[in-house]
Order: sequence, then C-alpha cells, then structure tokens
Amino acid sequence: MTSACKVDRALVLHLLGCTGASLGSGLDERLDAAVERCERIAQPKSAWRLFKTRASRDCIEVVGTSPALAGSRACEQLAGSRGVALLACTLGDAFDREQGDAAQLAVLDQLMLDAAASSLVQVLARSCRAEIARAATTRGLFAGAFLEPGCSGIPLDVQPGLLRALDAQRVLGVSCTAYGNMVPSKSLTAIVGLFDEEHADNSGCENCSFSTYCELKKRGVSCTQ
Amino acid sequence: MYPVTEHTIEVAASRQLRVKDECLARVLAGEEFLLFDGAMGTMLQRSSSLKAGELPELLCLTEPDAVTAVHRAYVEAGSMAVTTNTFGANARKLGGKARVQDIFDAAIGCARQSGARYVAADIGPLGALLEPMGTLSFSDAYDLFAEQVRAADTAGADLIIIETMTDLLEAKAAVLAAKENSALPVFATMTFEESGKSFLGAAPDAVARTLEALSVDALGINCSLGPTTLRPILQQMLEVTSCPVIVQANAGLPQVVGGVTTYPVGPEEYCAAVSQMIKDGAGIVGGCCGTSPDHIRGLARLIAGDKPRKRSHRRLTSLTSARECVELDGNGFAVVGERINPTGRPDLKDALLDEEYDDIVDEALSQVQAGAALLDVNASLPELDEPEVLAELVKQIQEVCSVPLQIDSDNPAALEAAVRSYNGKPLINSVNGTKESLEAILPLARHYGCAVIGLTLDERGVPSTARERLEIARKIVEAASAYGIPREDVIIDCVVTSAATDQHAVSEILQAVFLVKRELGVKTALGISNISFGLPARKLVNATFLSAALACGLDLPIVDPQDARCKEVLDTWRVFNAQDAGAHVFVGAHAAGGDSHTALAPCDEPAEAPSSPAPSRETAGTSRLHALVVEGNKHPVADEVAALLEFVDAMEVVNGHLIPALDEVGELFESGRYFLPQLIASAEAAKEGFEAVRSAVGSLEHMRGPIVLATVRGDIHDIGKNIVAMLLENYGYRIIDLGRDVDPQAVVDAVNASDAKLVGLSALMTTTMESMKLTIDEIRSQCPQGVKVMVGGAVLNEEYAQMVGADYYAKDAMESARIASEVCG
Repeated sequence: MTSACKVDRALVLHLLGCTGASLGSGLDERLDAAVERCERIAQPKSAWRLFKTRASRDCIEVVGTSPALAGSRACEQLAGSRGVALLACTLGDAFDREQGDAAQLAVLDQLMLDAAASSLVQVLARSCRAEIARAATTRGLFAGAFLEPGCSGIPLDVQPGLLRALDAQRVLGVSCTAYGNMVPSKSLTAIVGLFDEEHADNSGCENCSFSTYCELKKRGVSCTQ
Repeated sequence: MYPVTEHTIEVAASRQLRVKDECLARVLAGEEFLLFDGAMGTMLQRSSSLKAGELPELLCLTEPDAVTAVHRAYVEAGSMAVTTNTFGANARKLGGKARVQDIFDAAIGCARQSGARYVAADIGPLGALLEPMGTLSFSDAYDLFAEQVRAADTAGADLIIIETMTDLLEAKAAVLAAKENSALPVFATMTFEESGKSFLGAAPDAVARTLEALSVDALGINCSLGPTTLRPILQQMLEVTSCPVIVQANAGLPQVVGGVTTYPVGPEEYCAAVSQMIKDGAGIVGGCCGTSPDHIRGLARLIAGDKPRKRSHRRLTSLTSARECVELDGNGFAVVGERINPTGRPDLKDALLDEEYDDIVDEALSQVQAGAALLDVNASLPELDEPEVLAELVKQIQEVCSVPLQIDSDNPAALEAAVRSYNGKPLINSVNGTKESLEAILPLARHYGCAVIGLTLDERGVPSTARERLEIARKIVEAASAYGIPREDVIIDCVVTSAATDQHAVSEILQAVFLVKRELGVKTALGISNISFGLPARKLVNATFLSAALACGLDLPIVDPQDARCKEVLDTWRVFNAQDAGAHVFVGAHAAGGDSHTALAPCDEPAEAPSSPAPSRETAGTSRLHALVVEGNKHPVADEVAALLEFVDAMEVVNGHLIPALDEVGELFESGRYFLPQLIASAEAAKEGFEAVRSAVGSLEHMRGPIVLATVRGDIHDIGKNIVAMLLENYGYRIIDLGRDVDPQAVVDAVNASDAKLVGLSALMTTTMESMKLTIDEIRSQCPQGVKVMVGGAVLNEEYAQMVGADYYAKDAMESARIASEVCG
C-alpha cells in the first residue's frame, strides 16, 4: 500500500525539542525546505496483515506465522487479544540515500531533514493504524494500542520475525540489522492487538521498562509519539 | 614486479561455458525464445502447509511432492525452464534449519521430476542489505552466494538465475560468485519501482551496462510491477545491451490488505502486455508473483513458432555507478575530476594515512558540483596498504557520490581490490603498452567488467612522435580485443609531458589525440595539468592546452573542475560542440558577469569598495561578526572576517569575536531561550568564520584536544555525534571522528594513536548500549589510565552513564563542550 502523506510540522518542532510554532526568521525557511525535501524524496509504503493469536503462560503465539511474541511485557500488552495486526511501514531508501548525500548538507539541515522524516513515518503509521481500526471494526473487534518493538516494552528481537511474517523484504524492501536497526532507517514495525472490547492503552511511558532512565520522558517527549 | 593477485582471474579467464544443449545455445545467442515458469511462493501457499513467514525452501525437504506439482503444472502449461524453489536458500536465511546443499539437492530433484527441459537454480537476495546502506560486507555476501552456486552446480542445475535483486552491488556479488564457482550460464534480473529505479536507486541502463560488462548470459527485470509498467524500463535496457533480455513481471502490484494478497492482472491482460515487450526485443519471458500456469500457457501460445526480434544497438563508451551512466557520444566530452590524488597533496596524504575520509568525500562532492562527470580516485602512497585503502576510499566515495569513478593505480592488486566491490562499471586508469602491464591489467578489466584507459608508453618509455603514440595505442586496443574487451571500452591517453621540458612534444600529443580517434575510432583521455609542470601561471597554461586538446577531439579531459579558467574553457567548448544546446547554460552563467579576467587588466581608477549591508542585530559592545554568529546568519560571515582581518590579527578574530559569540549562544541555549536548531545555526555560522580565518592566514593551530568521537558498534544514527563534533571543532578542539557503527577496537586504536585524553561515545538505540559498555571496557583495559569517556544519546542519562562506566554524561552538545574544557583545557 502506498500513501501520500504530509509531514506533521508540529511534531517536527517537538522532535527538535522546540516549544512554540516558529523558530524565527531564517530558520523557519530552512525547516520549510527540509519538510519539502522530505516529502519530495520519501516513498512511503506500508503493509499490514491480521493474524489470530493463541496465548500461553509466557508467550503469545501469532497463529499462521513462525514468530511468537515472548516475554512478560508483550504478554501483558496483548493479554485477552483475539488477534493482532502486524504492520511495517517505510519511507524507502530514497530518503537514506539523500541522508547519505547529506555530507553536502549543513548539520542543521541534516537534523531538520531527519526530524521531518521521523515525523513522516509516524504520520504514515497513524494512517495504517486507522485502516487497521476500520478493518477490526468490520470484524466486530477493537484495535488496541500501537506497540512498537523497541518501545512500549516490546523487545526489539521480535522485529525479524515480524518482518518475515509480512514478507517485508520483498514487499517493502525493509530488513533489520543484527542490532535491530531498521534498514531503510526511516521504517518502523508495530503490533496492534485486536480485542473484543475497547482496550485501555497501556503502551505509554509509565509502562515502559526503560521508564526509569529515559531522558526523552524527562523532557516530556515519548518515543511512541 | 607486480604483486600476485588473490582472486580467481585464472579460473574465470579460462571459463568455458557449460551449455546443456544446442537449443539453449541458440537462446543465449538471441536466436530462440525461452519460456520460464511463473510464481512459486503464491502457488505453494495454496497447495501446501506453508505459513506466512516460514521458509518455502524447506518444503523441498518436507513436502517435495507439493513442490514438484507446481513445477509440473508449469511444464504442462509450456514452460521450457523451471525455477527451483531455492529463492532464499542461503545459509543466512536458513539459519541452521537445513544445509544449503541439501536444499539444492532436493529442489533440483523436484524440478527434474517435473520433466522440464531446463532446471534453473534460483538465487534470490540475501535478506540483508549490503554496506554502506546495510551491514553485510561484500565479501560475506559473495561467500553466501558462492555456497549456493557450488550447491546448485553439484546438484546438477542447467543454469543459474539470480533474481529479484534491488541492489546492483548485491547482484554483482552474486554474479561474481556464479562466474567464479561454476561454468553454468548465468542469468540476472533486478526489480524496479514506479520511480523507474530499483529500490536502492539503481537505474535500468546502469544495471544493463554493468551486468553485461560482467558477462552475464542474459539480463533483465522481474517482480515488482505489472507488465505494462515494466515496459519503459525494459526499453531502457534493450537500448544499451546486446544480451538476451528477460522479463518476468508480477501479475500487477500485490495488494496486502486485511490478510489477503491479491494480484490484479489476469492471463489475458498479462500476455497482451508481454507481447508488446516481445515486439520490443525481449527474448526470455515468464512470470513472477501472482502469475499462474494460465499466464504461462498464454505466453506459450504467444511465442509458438516464432523467433526473438533481431536487435541492434549503438555501442557507445559508457561508465556507470549504480545510479548514473556517463555515455560518450559524438563530440561530447565528460570532465574527469583529478583532485583525489595524494601526489603533491600533503592534506590528502595525511587524511589517507589517518583513514579520515570525510574531507576526501567533501572534495569528491565539490568536484561534482563544479561539473565533474567522473572522478579519478588515487591512493598511491608507498606507506599505505594500497589495495585496502583504495577499496575503502572507493566505498566511501560511492556512499555519497553518484558519479562513476575512474580507479587510478598501476598496482594490479589495488585495482582488483577496488573494482571487485565497485558498484557499477568503472574505468581503470590505467594499462600501458608494456607486456607486463597488458598481461596484468587487461584480464582484470575483462573479469570485473571495466573500461580501461591505455597509456601510450611501453618498454621504451613515452615516444616522441604522434605516430609512435598511435602505434602503441593500436597495440593496446588489439590486446584488449584479444581478452574480449570491446573497442568502445578502451580509452587512449596519449600521455601529456611538460611543455617546460619539451616544447615540441605539445603538438605531437595533440596530433596523437586526433590520429587515435581517426584511425582507431576509440575515445581519448588526457591528464591536462601535466603540461604546465615547471612553468609559472600554471592555470593559464593548463586552460590553453585544454582548449587545444578539445579542438583535437579530446573526450575525457582529466582536470581540476574547480579551476575557474578550466571551467570557462569547458563551458565555452560545450557551446562549440553543441553539448550546451542553445547555449542556455553558458548564457545563464556569463550573461551578467562579463569577463572574469578584466580585473587582471591595468586600470586607472581604484575599484569602489563594495558597501556592507547594515548590521541587523548589532548591539553595543559586540561586533557585527559576533551578532551574525549569535543570529546564526552564516552567509555574510566570511566577508565580515575578511574585513576584520585588515585591522586585527587572526587570534583576535577567534578569541575576541567568535568564541564570545559562541559563549553567548551557549548561555541562550542553557536558559531555554535558544533551542537546538538555533544552537546549530550559530555553530554553522561560527564554523564559516573559523574557515575564513584559516583560509586567510593558513592553518590555524588547534590549541586543544584531540578528542575521539564515535557512534558505537551496531548503531547507525550519527546526527547527534555530528553536532557535538561541529561544536567542539568551533571551540578549537581537534576532532578525530570515527563515524558510526564503530568497532570498540577501532576506538581504542584511535585513542592510542592520537594520545587523546577524551573520548565521546554516542548511542541512540537501547540495543546498542551494550556496545557502549563494551567499548568503555576496552578503553579501560587497553588505553592509558588518564583517558576520560563521555557518553550521550537520546535514551541515555546520568545513571546509565555510571552503569556503563563512563566518566561523564553529556546531555547535549553544550555540555560536551564544558566537559572537553574540563578534561582538555
């Protein structure tokens, strides 16, 4: 699936650690240029599929796929789910190549482009979550929180299995390194639980295993935003 | 003596293709159609117990009948060749679940049982991206592919088909593995996106030229898009290759929604679209994802009793990266940037010795911006391990620079190391007319699919006359032809010698260029700047000779593209030879500017000094330069520094203006009135100021440091580290920036080699923080006790810094400057 989506400028400013809606003369123009550049080069793509789940004591098995979501946090988040949607989305490699060429960009322009891309991939993910919610509704189910591996207490090591289940290397050109870095870098994967009833979103920072240390949280920023 | 090369040139040079029968030989000659099969994975999902995410290749062992049934359905539909169920059967993807050899044995057994005439051993992508985009090295990729090729050959395949590649470099690793480990015919196809490029940006013409140069037996397109969308991509390939061309399209774009994968293009529509491509010249057809035996049955009817269209194309000299082709056609010339060469460049020499490639990459980009279509890359220094350094340098430049490269060395081992993992079709600079050089270099060029520059010198040295140069050129062209290198891939350099030592040679060189083009019909190159050695006003001499050489038909001037005089000559010649159609570029560049050399003419009246714009934020007690830095307004900074330097010395500009401005910015940041963007904008402005001071007074002594910076192993996020590097440089520290994904030992080595007192480590990912701890542990055990470590990164904090054993936690770039001041003074 390919989406035409726009950078969320407010989120970009948030990611840059800025308050307010403006950076002031000169910098606003550079930010506008970064946003335009990001939207021009990004090739947004996403894929998601619905799977049934089967819960055991310390493991949620995603039926019909080889990966299983082990670990207490994953089990807590998905307890009581009837199924899950597995999702991957990416801005494609054109963006990484542009960042590769970023040696010709000033550091600030690199930073702004990076923030714009981070915003855009979140916008893309939001749009997928809305589609998943609609698909869940047609099945009489409710979509739960958006759980990203590496955030929300979901370990990064589920990433390879999740990508395999979506055939993401072939469909989206997305893979991940041994350390869990997504390639292309502006990509994300997520798990959305599907429940019989509306489900409380407990994916926030307070439930994150890294909550004690996280500097983002101290600054009022969440990695899930 | 030339060093002995490591790889398997001898094997490849004597490679006798093992073609199963006469019919396949006619297919490879473009005289017969070959019909492949359609999708395997989507068929297996219907007919076996295959689950999403499982490896379909394992079914060759567990459900061989299901696999054979798919093959048989295609054979009954008319497929001459079936593709084994081994798309992902590499050791990395199998992950120990089965042996590669066992899968290929079983898969080829299944295919044979179907009664197919030809069994094509399928090799797909490895499922991990190669460096620099990913983390898999070229040699590791090669090893994985080689294991598959050997398994396929042992199991009795009739040909190797490498397919669904998105990365031309990965395709090259697979093709080399196939050529060096088997005598079977090699087919290679890549997938392309709606943009007309592969997912990793490879252009169809660059793909076709590179694969043909690597001597694949057929090349083309598979997967990705539907057949209609693939046609323009196919046409681009057909235009530049004489190889048989393959098309195996998807039945449209897969739509994965709500758990169901569908493909919209049915057999009738598919065959109608492929028939157009057959008319264009495709000779090998089949299907990919979503196609079925019905699609193949339609194709069989389409080609029954017919022969592929006879094709012809103009054979032009071409060089490629993965993303760009440079084609030498007619009178047009292409500029080769000469500046990446350590000879006479102490700065470049130091950078190569220190393995600090950033400045060299900047130099590459600057040359491209100045108009270079190709870049010469040379790393010849006696104190360097040239093969290793040249290969790394090429990799670093290709990461950011899309123009094709000219690999410059007379060391065959260095050339081989660099061209083996080069992404595209490079130009080797150079071979010469000596027997030793011809025998060492030409097999390399042939094996790795390179064009080659031939220098007109031999055992007797550089000849004095044009005719003698021509004869050596003829010998090189003929020798290349004997190795199978086509004439268009040989470019002759008639060897420029200094006008100061032999004035008569100049006209002989120019005449030789003319003769070589007229009598041998090959393209020519000249290293222009050699002409001016020993003379004053070298740029004037170079530009004059360049103009004369272009008049003689020079195709590849090797020059400094940033030299203004050369650029003017080149701009003007692009008008003369109609490369600049309508002279639009020339008029745009020169209409308003007049003649840039009039300033050199004597004048009676002193020129009026340009007036400075009014300062926009000047405040009492601070200078305009100070205000510009605080504002982050970098463009006027260089002029302002130049103006200040007329009245004060360099250190006063630094200590009296730039540093106080940065301090004020730091305070604004600390107090929350400035955010990161403003901080960086100011740092950029200050950097302009430091650069302007340096260029005015020569090197500005680094007073402090050095400081080693790195993003730790496994982490590829480096923007934060780059911000710290820039800020610390502004504060006068010498920064040794090791980049991203840095091995702990590399950090230790850099600290010990530089005697650094401070190391900065960055990690963005929670998963890479273990690497941070490991790096710090290695520093503690291998470096002197006084070395301090500061750490930073989005998910780090003071407690974690202590936990991993760091001395300091830098919560932001300003904090890193304070820490640096405490440790280094």
